Amino acid sequence: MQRTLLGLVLLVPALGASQEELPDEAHPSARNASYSIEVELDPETMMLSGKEIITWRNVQPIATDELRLHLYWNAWRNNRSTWLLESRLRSRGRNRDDLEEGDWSYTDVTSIELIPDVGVPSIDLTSEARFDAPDDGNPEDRTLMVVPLPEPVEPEGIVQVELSWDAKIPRTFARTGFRGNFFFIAQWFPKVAVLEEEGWNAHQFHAGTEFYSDYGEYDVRITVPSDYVVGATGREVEKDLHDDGKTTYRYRQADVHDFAWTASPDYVVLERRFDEPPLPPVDMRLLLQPEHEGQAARHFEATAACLRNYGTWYGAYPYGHVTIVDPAYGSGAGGMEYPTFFTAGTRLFNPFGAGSPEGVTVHECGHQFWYGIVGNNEFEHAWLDEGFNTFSTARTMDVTYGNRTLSRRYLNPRGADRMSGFLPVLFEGIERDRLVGGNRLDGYRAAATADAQSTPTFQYYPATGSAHSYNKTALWLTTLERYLGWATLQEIMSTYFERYKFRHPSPQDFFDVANEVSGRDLTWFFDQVYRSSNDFDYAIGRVASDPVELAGYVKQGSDLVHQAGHDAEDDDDEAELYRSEVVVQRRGAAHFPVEVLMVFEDGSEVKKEWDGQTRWKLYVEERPAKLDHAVVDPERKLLLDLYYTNNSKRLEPNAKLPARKWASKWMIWVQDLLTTFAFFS
Amino acid sequence: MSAIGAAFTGLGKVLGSPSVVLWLWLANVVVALPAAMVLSESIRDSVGGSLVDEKLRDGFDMGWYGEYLANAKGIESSFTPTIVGAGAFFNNIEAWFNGNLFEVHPGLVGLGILYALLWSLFLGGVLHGYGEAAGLFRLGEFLSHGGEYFFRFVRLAVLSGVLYYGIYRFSGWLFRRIERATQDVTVEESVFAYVVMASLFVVFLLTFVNMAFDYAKIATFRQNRRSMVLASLKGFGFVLSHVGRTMTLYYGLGLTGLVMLFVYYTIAPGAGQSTMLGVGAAFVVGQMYLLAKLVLRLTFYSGQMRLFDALVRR
Repeated sequence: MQRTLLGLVLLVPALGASQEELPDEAHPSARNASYSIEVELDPETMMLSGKEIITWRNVQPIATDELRLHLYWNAWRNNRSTWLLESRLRSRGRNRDDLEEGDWSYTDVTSIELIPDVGVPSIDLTSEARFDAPDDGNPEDRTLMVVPLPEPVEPEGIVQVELSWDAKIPRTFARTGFRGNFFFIAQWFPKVAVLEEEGWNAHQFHAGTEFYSDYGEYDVRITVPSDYVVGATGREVEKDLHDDGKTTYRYRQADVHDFAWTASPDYVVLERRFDEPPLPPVDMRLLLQPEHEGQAARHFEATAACLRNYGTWYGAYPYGHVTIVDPAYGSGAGGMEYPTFFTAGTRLFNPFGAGSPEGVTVHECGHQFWYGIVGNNEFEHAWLDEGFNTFSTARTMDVTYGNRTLSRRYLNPRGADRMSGFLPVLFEGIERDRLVGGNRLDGYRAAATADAQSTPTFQYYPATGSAHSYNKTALWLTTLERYLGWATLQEIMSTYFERYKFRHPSPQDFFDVANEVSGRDLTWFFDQVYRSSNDFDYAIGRVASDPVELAGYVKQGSDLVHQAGHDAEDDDDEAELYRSEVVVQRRGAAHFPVEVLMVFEDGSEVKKEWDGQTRWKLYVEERPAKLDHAVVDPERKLLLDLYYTNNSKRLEPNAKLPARKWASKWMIWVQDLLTTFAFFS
Repeated sequence: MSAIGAAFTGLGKVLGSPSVVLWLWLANVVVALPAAMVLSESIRDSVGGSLVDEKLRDGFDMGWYGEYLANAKGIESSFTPTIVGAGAFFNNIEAWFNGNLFEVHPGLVGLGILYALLWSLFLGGVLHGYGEAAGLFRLGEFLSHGGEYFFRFVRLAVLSGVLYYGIYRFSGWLFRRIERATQDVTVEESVFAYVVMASLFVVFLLTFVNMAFDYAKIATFRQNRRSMVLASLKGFGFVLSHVGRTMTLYYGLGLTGLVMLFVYYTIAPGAGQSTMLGVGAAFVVGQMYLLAKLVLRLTFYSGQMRLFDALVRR
């Protein structure tokens, strides 16, 4: 190893000896981006003042002469940032034109010093730092800082820099910020980007994407007013009460790639242990809003369901502890994942059955596995965690809770966009199942052909990122589950998990594992679901079933005689034969092998396999029973099929009753709507 | 006359003229039925010969619904499974409260306006029926009285519409103010309390205007007024002069409506009817509730007319 001034292996006392954070004595991750941070929260000014030492080791085979740092909070410095410009195209979130001075945020790095070897004075790099916008060239975007280094960092070289910064806490954007005395502090410190073999993989902060960082060790001292309760990534290892009414909490965690924390004087702290051998025990710490105390068990049970199922299916949760945060009402911090730490989110009135807070709790806990432990690049391949996790959430919800009941919230105040309905009503008997509801087929349908999944996530067509990352992946994983069988898919995913835990896998890594474990070349499948924007839609084009009639000239002995249509009723000795024809169509551009089922009136069935390649195929059966109906993909293996209603067709349609039933119910609504209009007359 | 006395007398008058109730119910059905037939045909086309029919017959199929909605272009785009049971009424109360009635499909807005005009047309007949000694219901006479007051009541509707519009604008402003004022409140209970109080105030404003214009119509009918501005002032003046009784009557009947809704909520058929008989029975239950609502609405007019007569003609 070439040792340069920057390549010295430095001892960082504050970061040492944290192997005990994992049950395994070995270091499962590269631990090449480690942080020692001291931060103080001032709730009066909504400011953070921080100091950090970044110890970064070059684990790539190339040298680099700079460090690239993410300053995410600068995304809300002003309305010219890439994040805010993009969020206009996405048409979501709060009204960006309605921001007050206190709503904005920034991270202002006040000093950057290179810490060379022991006894050597530090080198001030502050004036050398500049901002870069590699994705869109936006000169107003300050979310990516480049710090040139006096000398390159060679492979396996280590560089250590000390930064000081001040940060204005935003009124919540992207799940980070404040509401009153509630603080949820995420993406808050200058954070080094990821160097890959090809160079820095460092993107600006985009409205449609999340994050990507190397694993490391975090040692963070958080100073807050003493009446505040703190929760954070990792475990609390020290607590120092100061004379000035402040308390410093020290949290440490190794083998994670991020660190977030929360502070509020209102939290109720509850603890429970997940202990279901052979899975390792996990201490669950729940920071709950007082008004949700009655929902504590629901949070714990959902977290346990996640740890149990993900742990069994993919691999055990290794950290031994997890913190669940129930964010303050209206804070916008709910539903987000951080290593060993996540936010759920519930409401004052939240009847069991509609899927919340169970769904969000399972999902964000699930990100501990897909994002936390397997740390893919969320800037470019968010589907690797969001999609895997949506699939896993739906599966966990299904095995734990069954279907969800349709619900709607009423009392939505007019014009108050950030207040959603307060009063929920469950519609018993109308359910969302795992396959369609859990995997979010409806959301995918609307954006199915808008983009190929292989497009880098930050470049997805506006507002379709969720459909491609979450929905489509969940749908094609469920398709694989039903095509290969759950045992095979589970083995694929657990192998992928085991092989890439604490690493940064690429899409191809998963595809390779899938091919290897399944023993099949699934490239044709990934070509369609990942590399193309083609849609799937198989349908029964037409069905017919008529008695076989022989008419025209037929040979009788040596004579050719004319014969009228055969009438079975005239010939009791001969069983009536029906010629049944089914035309199956591929209406979408993508193809998938499907089964075609023909069901006859006598209950007999014929199942055919079709490679699904051509645009249509005719199936003909001559049997002594009339066709009742035909179904293409009867077991619904192809969850990506946008329109499943057209996958079946009866010879005799039977839609009158359901049409009248639902039209009559709707008519009652229309009648009442009319009388509501009459209120104004 | 007390408010309670007016309410019961009014109810007796309404129940004593079932033909009026039935005629108005029939008009309601006739206006809604074509839309329902369009929806029925649309669902039938969508389901076609598919096996989805079984799920829709026995309950509902959210998978099918997503496909259906993705292709719905006309009034069928207003179809949602939340109209099942009392949801139909909750949805409309929500739309009324939020002023979102005009955000449903334009075809349904058109039907709503048509029905509101019909209601204005029938109202003269209704008031005549409840204002005079009971007699046989004659459609011609009913419509004749309706026609006599139709344009006046439409003008009143325009005047009240201006006020309703103002209330909705105020409502939006009020809730935005509450949203901004509570942006640092971390407890939903507190925000909920503010929203409930503000909502009650908005509901009060809407219903107060409605009550005043009910009396404006009654004054127009009873006093054969030609100026609807003066009639409106008369309506407000009457309410303010007799705040206790007018409000007790109006809000007492309103409370009765809420009780009726709660009862319907507990007994309303869900999504489970799988035979034509069951479907028909569920429809009948819904119609019974609509009839009850209609009786209640007519009792507002009838009771208020009793009160007006008692206090003005004293």
